[in-house]
Amino acid sequence: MTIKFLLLVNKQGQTRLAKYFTELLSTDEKRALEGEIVRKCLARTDKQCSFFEHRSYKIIYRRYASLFFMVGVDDDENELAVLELIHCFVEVLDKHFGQVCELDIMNDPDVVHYIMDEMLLNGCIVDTNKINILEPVQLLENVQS
Amino acid sequence: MLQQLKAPKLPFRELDLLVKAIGECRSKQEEDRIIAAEVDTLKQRLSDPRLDKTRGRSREVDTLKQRLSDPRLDKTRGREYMVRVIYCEMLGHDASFAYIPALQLASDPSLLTKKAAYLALTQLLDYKHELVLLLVNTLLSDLKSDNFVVVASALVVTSKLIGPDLVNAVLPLVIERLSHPRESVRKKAVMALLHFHQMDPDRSGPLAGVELERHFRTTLCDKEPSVMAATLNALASLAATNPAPFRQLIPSLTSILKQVVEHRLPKAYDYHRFPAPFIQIKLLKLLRLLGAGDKAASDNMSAVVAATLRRAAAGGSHTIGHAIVYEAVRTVTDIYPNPQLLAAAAEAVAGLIKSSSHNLKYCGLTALAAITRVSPKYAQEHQVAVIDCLEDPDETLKLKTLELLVTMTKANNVTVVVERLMAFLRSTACGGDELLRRHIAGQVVSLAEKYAPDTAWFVRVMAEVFEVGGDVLQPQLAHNLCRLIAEQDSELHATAVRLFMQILDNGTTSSGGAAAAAAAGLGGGAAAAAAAAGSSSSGLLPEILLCCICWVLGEYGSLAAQLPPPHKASIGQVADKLCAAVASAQPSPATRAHLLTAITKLAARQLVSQGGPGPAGVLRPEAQDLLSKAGSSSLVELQQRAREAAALLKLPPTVLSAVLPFDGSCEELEPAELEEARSLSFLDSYVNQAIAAGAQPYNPPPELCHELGILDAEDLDSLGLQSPGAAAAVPALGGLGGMGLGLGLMPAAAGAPAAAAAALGQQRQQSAAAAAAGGGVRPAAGTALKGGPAKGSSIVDPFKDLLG
Repeated sequence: MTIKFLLLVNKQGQTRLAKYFTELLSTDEKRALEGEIVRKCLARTDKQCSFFEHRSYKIIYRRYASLFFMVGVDDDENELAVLELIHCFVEVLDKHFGQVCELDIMNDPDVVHYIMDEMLLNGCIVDTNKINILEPVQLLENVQS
Repeated sequence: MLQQLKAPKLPFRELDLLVKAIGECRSKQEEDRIIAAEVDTLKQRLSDPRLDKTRGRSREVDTLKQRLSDPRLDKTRGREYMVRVIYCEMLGHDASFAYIPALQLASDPSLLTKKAAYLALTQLLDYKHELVLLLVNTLLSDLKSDNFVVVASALVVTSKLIGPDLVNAVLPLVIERLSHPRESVRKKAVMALLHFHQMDPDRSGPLAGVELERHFRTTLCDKEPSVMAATLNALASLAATNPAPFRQLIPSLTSILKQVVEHRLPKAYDYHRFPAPFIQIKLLKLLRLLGAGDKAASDNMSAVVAATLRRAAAGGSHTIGHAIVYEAVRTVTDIYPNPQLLAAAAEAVAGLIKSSSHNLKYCGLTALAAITRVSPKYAQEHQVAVIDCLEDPDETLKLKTLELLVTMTKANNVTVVVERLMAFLRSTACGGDELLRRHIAGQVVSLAEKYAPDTAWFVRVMAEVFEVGGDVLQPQLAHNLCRLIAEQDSELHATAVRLFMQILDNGTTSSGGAAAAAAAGLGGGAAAAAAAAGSSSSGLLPEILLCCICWVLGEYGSLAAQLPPPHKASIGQVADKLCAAVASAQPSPATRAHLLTAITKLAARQLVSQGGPGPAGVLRPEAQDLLSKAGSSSLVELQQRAREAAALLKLPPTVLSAVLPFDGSCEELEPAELEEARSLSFLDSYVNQAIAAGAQPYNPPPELCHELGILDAEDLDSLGLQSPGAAAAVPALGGLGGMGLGLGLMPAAAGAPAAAAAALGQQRQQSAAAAAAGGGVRPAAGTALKGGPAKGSSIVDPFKDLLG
């Protein structure tokens, strides 16, 4: 019933963001896993569903422009809910960065992580209320400037 | 939503150079080079003593000095270095050089630096790492901070990096934070407690005696929905192992769910006009855990679950609405069955399956499978829609549909379902994934065993499954199939022979066509078409199938002469085909042993029917070749069988037909006969004759004495030997069992005469040999040894002396 990892990978297969929750994998294992999953995603067409199985995980993915958002869950999870979680996450990013793009994520990966930490902890959904999520993150921005 | 790249709007940083370089690089090698250079730079900078001094200055200095050195630049640098470290690790490089600097920066007063350092640590380390110990003091002081963002960050780190041995250090503070004024802190404290619970679920370690449940009950009633939602996660985890103590929460949970669906939460929790959908889903999941198997609990929740389902279905066609519907249906199917709920759920599922979106179809199929398990009638209504999904090119969907079909299978549709499963098994989608193939092949076998309409169909399907999925199935299945065939009448024997001959005929490359053609022959038209469309994945016949073929053709191959053309074949031709197939498949020694026995049986049959060796000699050239090669093989089993075969085939036909009777594998033995076979008492007169003539009496080895009950286990131990002739029995059993597929003898009974025979053979081959071949061969001996020459024989040819 938990989310195992969340990956943002672009169409060339370059990882832009990788967050692992309760899985304890080494760096090499993580990168190998990411490569395999991305290859499978890239091979899928629009006519197929957004879910597939890979090893012991079920992967749910969604493509936004050049980025794939891929979430790995274990068997019992509600796939449609995870699909919408991805969309909610993108909406939050959009609200924060204003028309978010891949470069925003590359320039401020730590902020993206902080946003994720407000929404997901240890693989469970904690909050999807955009105001709650963005308040602490906004404060950080104010400190910086 | 995501658009083209645009210029960064932040002040210049070296990080920007790195990002630009990574963004523009064209190949993995280039990226590796950039990152390797970056790693070197970082190592240098982070171990630079000047860095420490700068940081140190901004820590302990008075206000004036702080203003002199630009603190903002330093802080940004700290944050920047940490982000660069994260990049290096994310792109696959080792960043262990950054552990210590990150630990140091974590205690930096600058919020940004601290958070960046914490982030780097959570990305690089895990709770098992020994360096985490160095972080504890920083975490403790941060947990007490006045700044709620700092407290929140510390809690996030606590949820990831605190392991069982450090829990006690932070537990009291975390519990205190449960009542922090800020919801951002409270919800993270709840999650931290959940993490601690998962570190020690039995409360046998650091959490012994701590009642987390009490805290969770309080936070469940928190005025902030987000804290309540976080608590739901914790409750779900706790209830998953033991739901009973949490059932008393059901009234609170149903009341919360009711409030949520009635839009009584703040608008900020809405998502696309659905009220707090993720919270609804969490509540449904939790209710599912608590209601499963408990009628009273399920009754308490049925009204609110129905209301949730209704509202979600009516809320418009957004995916999140469907997600709630899907979750509600799964709850309905898992709790105690309620007819109205099930009807409502079935209706909702119909909507999902009929939609045009693949994702919805997928979830609809899973939901339908769940409903079918509880109440099979609903599946019938949707059969058409389900079959449509089967035709879909999307493999994921096809697989789901197959799983659903398996749950819906009954006697009247098993043929169709099995056809589909076999087609999927042959298709390339299944090809590489062994787990999947084993799963599907297993499904086919169990369905065939449960619902087979007749034996001919069963045999055909098993042959197909062996051929396509033989490498992932248990070898025991071959034994079962042969046994089944043996028990049937001669008509089935003939059809089985024809089937296997066809498989051999079509060779190894188009075995798919073989089974299909055979299927057509046995009357499964549509099946043949479907099966022939696919192509066999590997070129060789699997072992399991070869074993079956060898045995069936060995036992009943003579029936091939009675088959209509093109299958009609003489015994010699059958033997040839067998040899050719086995030779090309490079089988294991076990299969080759089966082959030898099969050839022997066929040749024996021929001898018996012809009344003696024909003009072409006893065996065909290939068979003869095989036998002589095996006779000098280094594997004892093969050698034994080859020599036995050679000797047997020299016997006169009358003896041969007693030793290797046709279709005798299923004959039952009387207990008296078994006992005779066990003790070889019929040989007594012969043995006594030999002893009277001066031969030495037999002195069995101690292991055998134990087996025969002459010695005790203690005696055996005192001699330092291993007890039962398990070791002795196994190779003999292998010989007996292999040749006697369908023999019907109990292993113990089979082991004893074989072991006795083997041991005797080693010491007194004359007695055994003479007994077997001599005129005193009674039916008892014949039945005991039916199905193959398993008498006492060894390296030395036992019959040479007797027959000259």
